[in-house]
Amino acid sequence: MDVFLELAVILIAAKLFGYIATKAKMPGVLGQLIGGMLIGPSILNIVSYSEGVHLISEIGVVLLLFLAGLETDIEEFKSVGIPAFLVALGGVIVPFVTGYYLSSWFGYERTEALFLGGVLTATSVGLTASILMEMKQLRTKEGTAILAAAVVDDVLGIIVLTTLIAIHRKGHVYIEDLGILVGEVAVFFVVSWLVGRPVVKEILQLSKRIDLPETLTAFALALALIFAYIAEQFRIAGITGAYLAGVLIAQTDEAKRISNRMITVSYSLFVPVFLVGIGIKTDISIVLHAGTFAILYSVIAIIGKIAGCGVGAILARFKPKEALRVGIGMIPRMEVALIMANVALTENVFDKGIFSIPVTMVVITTIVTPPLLKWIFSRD
Amino acid sequence: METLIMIAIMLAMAKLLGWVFEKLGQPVVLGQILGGLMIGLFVESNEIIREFSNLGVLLLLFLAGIESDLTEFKRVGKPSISVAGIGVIFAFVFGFLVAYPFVEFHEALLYGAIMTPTSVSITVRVLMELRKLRSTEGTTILAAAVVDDVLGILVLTVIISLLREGSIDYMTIFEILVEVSGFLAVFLYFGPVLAEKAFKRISRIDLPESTTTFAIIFLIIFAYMAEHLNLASILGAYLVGLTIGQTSYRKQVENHVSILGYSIFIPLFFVEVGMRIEASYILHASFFAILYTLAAIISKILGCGTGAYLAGFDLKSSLRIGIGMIPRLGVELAMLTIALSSGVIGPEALTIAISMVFATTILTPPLLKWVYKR
Repeated sequence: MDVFLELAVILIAAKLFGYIATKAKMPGVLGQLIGGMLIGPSILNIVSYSEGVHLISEIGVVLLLFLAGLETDIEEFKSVGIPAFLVALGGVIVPFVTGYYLSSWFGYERTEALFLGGVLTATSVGLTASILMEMKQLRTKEGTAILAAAVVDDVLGIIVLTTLIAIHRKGHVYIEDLGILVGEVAVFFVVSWLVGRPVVKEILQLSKRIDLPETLTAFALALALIFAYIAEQFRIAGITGAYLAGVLIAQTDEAKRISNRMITVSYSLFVPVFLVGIGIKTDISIVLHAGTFAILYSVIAIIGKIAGCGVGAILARFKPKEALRVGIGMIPRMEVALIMANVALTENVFDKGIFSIPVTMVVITTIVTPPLLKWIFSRD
Repeated sequence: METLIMIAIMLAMAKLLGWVFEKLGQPVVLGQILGGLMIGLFVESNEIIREFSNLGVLLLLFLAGIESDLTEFKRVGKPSISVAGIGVIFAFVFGFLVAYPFVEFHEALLYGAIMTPTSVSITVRVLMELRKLRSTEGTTILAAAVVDDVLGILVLTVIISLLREGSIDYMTIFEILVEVSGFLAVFLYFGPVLAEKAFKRISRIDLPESTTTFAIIFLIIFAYMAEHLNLASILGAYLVGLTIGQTSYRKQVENHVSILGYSIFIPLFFVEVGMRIEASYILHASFFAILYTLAAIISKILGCGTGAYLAGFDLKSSLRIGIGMIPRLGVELAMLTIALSSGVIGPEALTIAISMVFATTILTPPLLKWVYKR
């Protein structure tokens, strides 16, 4: 099908099913996911997810996290530093350990079990961010904690993955190598904070002087893309970089104006394509054919995050209900988990059969999260 | 990921060079094309960026449509029809005749068509500076620009469908004219009422930016439909814009779509056009390019001037209007890319047409100032 026509179909599905979902008092996001599954290869098969559409959805998730960063209250962000670390740490350790033991118990080899555990560590916060934004809960204590924890989680995930690959290739891991890795990541964050802040400010000042339509918006967009790109060069997820760019811009005077324009740019095109795109890429038949292990593995994925992040949050003196909210917000696994599973596949740790297990888990966590989040955040 | 960073660089380049040109008192778009030319020396554009830039073309035409002020047009309609109409005919004939010795018959037709539309943004700026925009000449130029866009797109549409049909005889011309006028009639007659109703429903959707999204959806669908009927996609895009412009949602849709367009897709389009230019062609095409540029200037002065004179303006005013109608820019470049994608016209057309765009937009402000000072 023609690329543009495909785009039109995706947009129609986004608004139509989003509308139905809001009428059914469900998050619009869930409707968009389901709409995507419906028009995707699993059911009606009317759109093939072409490269152009893929790029739009990639920009969509970058913009989503950028917007989340723009909405982040910096004081709140600073105050959740330690809680976020505890939440992320709990959310990495518990799923990893339980995932590893479950897999071993089901007879998977040591390396396979290690990687299956590793895949469970990486939260993808895009879905949660879009739901919380829809519910206007992003600026709450829990919302900020989730976003900050996702950044830490991302870093921890890279460390886990690097360690696992080293163990697989050489049988052991040098602590120096991990030190270098942590150093690199630290350099990225420190440099983007110290150098990024004044540079971003200067660039926005400059763009304010440029008297062309939407210059500020275009520059903000370019900054988000550049930060995402640089982050990827440091093996950090692009969305973490975009989030950082948002947080940096949030501290300038232009934040409100940029945020307004960005909402138009994002929600009129890019974000709906991202959300419907998740649905399109979701192969439901894998879930239908999933074995007992895949189901249990997915359950562990959900409970592991709720328990791990929840305990982390409670240690950071969150109330039980707040801790539960944070835990549920950290459930979704998406691109980062799939990237990890893909690495395991190319390293010949996973075969095609094992690969479908994390895929099942991704699908299930994606479907389960929106209703759970809506439920827990609308209870008082 | 490489594509993302390329988009970021293209955007930054578009705004920076656009700004430099603005400061130099030159059209922004020229800076953006030049920026593209510079980027093009280092990297090549790819399929996806081209798709993005094509969406930019459609958005540009959509915005041209939605911005068309039909009430203003109805007020000063008559003279503007003869200004634009005769201007378009002259431009087409001149363009065709100049190109014919150099290229094949089919190509020459397209060269004629590309020359037809005027982009008055430069003229508007100069007239504003001179405080003459609200004069009869000024309003006539503004209204003529609307007619001119429509006629230009129609000419291109007819030519492209003729070329696609393969045979040029009266029957096909007749069929195409019927199709085009059918399309137009349906749009102008039913469009506004249906659009009003549709948007009323859409605005009830409790999701952010639904009206904007649906404007894009309609834009794509009708562009595709026009394409499918063997008409040019830009005709569909333009008409959707024109139609939504007649509804009460005009302001809202216009604001939001222009945010989407100008923050990413439209600057990408102009930069991408620049990236397509191959420097080697510039030297090759020189003689033809100069003739073509001259034809572009003279045809509009003569054509639009005659139109204005016939509509009752005196000689001096007619000259002013004719000069005001010289510049070619946005719509013209959009038509150029459509013509290029038809495959009939070779890539050297890009260089030739762009030199013409550069020359006309740079020459217009001094010419206008000169003719107003006399």
